[in-house]
Amino acid sequence: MSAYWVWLSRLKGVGPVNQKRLLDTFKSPRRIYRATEAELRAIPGLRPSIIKAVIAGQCTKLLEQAEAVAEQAAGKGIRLLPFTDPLYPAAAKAVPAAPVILYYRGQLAVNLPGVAIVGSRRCTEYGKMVAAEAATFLANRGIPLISGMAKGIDGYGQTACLRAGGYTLAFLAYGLDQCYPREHASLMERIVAEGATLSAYPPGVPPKKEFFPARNNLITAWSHTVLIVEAGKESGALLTAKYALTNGRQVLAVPNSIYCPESIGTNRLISQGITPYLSPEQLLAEEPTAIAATQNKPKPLQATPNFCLTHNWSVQQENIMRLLYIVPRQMEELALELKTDLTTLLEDLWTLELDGFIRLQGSRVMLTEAGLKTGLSPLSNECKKADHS
Amino acid sequence: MATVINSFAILGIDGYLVEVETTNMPGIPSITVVGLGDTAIKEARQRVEAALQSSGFEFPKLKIVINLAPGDIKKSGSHFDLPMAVGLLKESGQLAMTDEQNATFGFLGELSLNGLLRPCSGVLPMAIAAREAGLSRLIIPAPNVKEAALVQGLEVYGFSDLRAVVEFLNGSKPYIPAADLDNPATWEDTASVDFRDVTGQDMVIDAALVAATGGHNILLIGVPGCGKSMIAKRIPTILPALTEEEALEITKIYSVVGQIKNRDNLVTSRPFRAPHHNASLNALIGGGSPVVPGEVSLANNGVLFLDEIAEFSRKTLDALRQPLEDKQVTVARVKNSVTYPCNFMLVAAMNPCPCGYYGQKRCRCTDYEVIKYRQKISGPILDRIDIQKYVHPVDFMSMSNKSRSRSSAELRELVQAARDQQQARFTGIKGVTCNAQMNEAMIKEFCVIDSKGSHILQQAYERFHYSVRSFNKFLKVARTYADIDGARQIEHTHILAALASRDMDKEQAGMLIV
Repeated sequence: MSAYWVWLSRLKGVGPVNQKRLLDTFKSPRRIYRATEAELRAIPGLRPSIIKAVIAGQCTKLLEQAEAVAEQAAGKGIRLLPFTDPLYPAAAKAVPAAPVILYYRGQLAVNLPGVAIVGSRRCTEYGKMVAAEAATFLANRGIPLISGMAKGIDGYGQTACLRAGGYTLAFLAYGLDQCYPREHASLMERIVAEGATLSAYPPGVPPKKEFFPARNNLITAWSHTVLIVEAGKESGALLTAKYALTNGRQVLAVPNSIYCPESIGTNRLISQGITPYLSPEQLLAEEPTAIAATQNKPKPLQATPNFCLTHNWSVQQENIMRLLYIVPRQMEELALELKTDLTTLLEDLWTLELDGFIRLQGSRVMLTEAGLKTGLSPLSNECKKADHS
Repeated sequence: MATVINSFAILGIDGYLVEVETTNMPGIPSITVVGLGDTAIKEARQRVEAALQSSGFEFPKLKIVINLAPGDIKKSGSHFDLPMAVGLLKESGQLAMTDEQNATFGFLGELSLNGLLRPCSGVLPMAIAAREAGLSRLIIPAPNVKEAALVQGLEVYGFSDLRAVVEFLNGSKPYIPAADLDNPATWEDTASVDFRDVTGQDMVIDAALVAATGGHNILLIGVPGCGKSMIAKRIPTILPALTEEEALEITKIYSVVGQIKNRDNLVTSRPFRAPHHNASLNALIGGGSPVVPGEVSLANNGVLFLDEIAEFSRKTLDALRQPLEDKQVTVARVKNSVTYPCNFMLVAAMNPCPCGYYGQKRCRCTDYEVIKYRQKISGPILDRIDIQKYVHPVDFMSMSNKSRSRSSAELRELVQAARDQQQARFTGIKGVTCNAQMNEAMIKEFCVIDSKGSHILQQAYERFHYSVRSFNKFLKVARTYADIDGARQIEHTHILAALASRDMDKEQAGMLIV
């Protein structure tokens, strides 16, 4: 049976839209293979060129080829997801370009569509942080994360999701027996083990530039919300945003500095009316509870503790935080400005680092996100009273 | 009966006595050199013949055989010219040597076609071999006198041509020492760099100090141009002063590779060797034909600096494992093997990521790429490096006026004091002289920490997921910090300082990879 599906998906001159139209009429690809010219002519609005292509495709050689592909896939542990399979999400089916068959490795969840997190391959530390935070948020609520396993944002998001015990799907623009980029081989293994990799391409097909837009469209097809974390001036993530809008998905873009080249695209999206992404809660669908109930148990949200109440900072430590407010500093500089020696400074820095407010890279000291949120600046005279609800 | 003249050859970095036997017999005039000599020795006969002629002697028209005994060890070098020439002259009756002269004199030197004596390499180890063989006088080329004079209890005569040697031996002219012997060689240290020139890098200098004190190998990580090499170059200046024994060993190695005769001075400071990252395995470890010491041996008792260590080929780097562990390297050949000392401190430097700017705003390397880049250095090598320290470029405007760095002399005093402490600790333990060489049992015995210290270690372990290996390294480094402070017990401040010595391990914990 699966050979007929593969045959249909590989039919020359017949695209996904017409393939699905044929399916509507004949109900199964085997019947399409056996269809006569008269039967085909009876379908209203089917162009003669399509009819010709179907007739031309009805030869045993092509079917044998399709059989070989199906066998090869089965041999490599790659499964087929036909259009009529209940696991094929209805939302994805609604997209005109959705292929009649998908190849996949791993397990497909039932609570799809999910949320897509995509962005530049060459991303900034900020982008990495946003992607990881959003992915962890989704993982904790059992919402599937959809992405493309590319370098940068895609990879970071999926890695963070897996780390948090979440479920993720990777849509790839090549046969599933390969791995691109190669450095993601171990990531791919984990995704297959705890989620799934999917592709419209049979095994053996290498990644090609022209495959990627279709792949991006697939990502949006399987998502209800698409988060664009970072996108340069001509990033592929912008194309994803365009597809998402066409497919009627919610699109969110992460705002960033207007001087950051990685954010030209996302900032422009925002200027064109896309909702800026300000907090992970925006990623939840209209009825978050309905989705969350089906998968992993959601972990309770931890309230951000008021640092003033929980940490007994010394005056020295507070001063350190103030000095770090604008730029990272060298320890030697800090010691000079605070008129202390390195040994005592190390002790103060140690507790701050342990609590996650600062990060040390050798002798360079910088604030973490948590550190920034304390709002201690050279100008503020006392601890900011954080909201504590 | 054949004439026997004493000369020497080099095996590894040691010399041994070679008897140059010369005999002539009736037959077709010819000259044959036997005794496993290399091409330089084979060509000696042409040089000797020309030198004899131009010095006004007669080359015997007989069948001549010269044997270098022992005849089963391969020999190399051009310094057999002089003993061969002397032997020929004596055998042909043009030079009369007393039996006493014959038994006490050793000869070495290369001859020019004009009969002049040229300097040769390996003189120091050969002079030592002369003394050990019971010879009391040595005739050598004049430029080599300084080097040979280092050996006590040996009369060294330096000549500039063959004629003068002959005239001295038959007593027709007395020996007049060359003028520059008035200021003989000394072991005085003449370093030209100083840690005082490095400002605003107190943390890194601290790390270098600890490395030098405890004998820890150190890896400096930093963006291009942040001062990694500058710091590395200064590490030899804070290592304890060379003992005469160490200096002699270094000079022997440099003598064998022919670097003493070219520089015309002795090795008086700790060597600093910085081979380029495309150095071949043999260049680094030693090898070739004839076998010569490699960079690891030239760095003996000093510092081997591997800049851009991630760019070295994996094979080359992995070959460093045995030298790092055993402090000596053996180059094995089918017939014999040669062992060179290589007790060096490894200082390595690398960029933090492929683009070089990890942690700064302009870096766009992904975590996977960074990890892959760092994995170019194999685990066993990283495992032998106790300290990994980030070096950051200093903001020149803000730092230069405010801080004063400690000088190398000050630091060296600290190192020396702490080394003495270590020596006292490890007396009676064979092969261990500094903290870096402690094994696990010794760490348990000597690195006892109080509850506050172990609490800090516990926290670090939970937060940064360190391995057990890193743990032992922290303890060793903390021990060294305590030694510098002169403390008997490791205190929690030492632990804190030690925790700042594994920057790369710590950073790895924060990376977002599967």
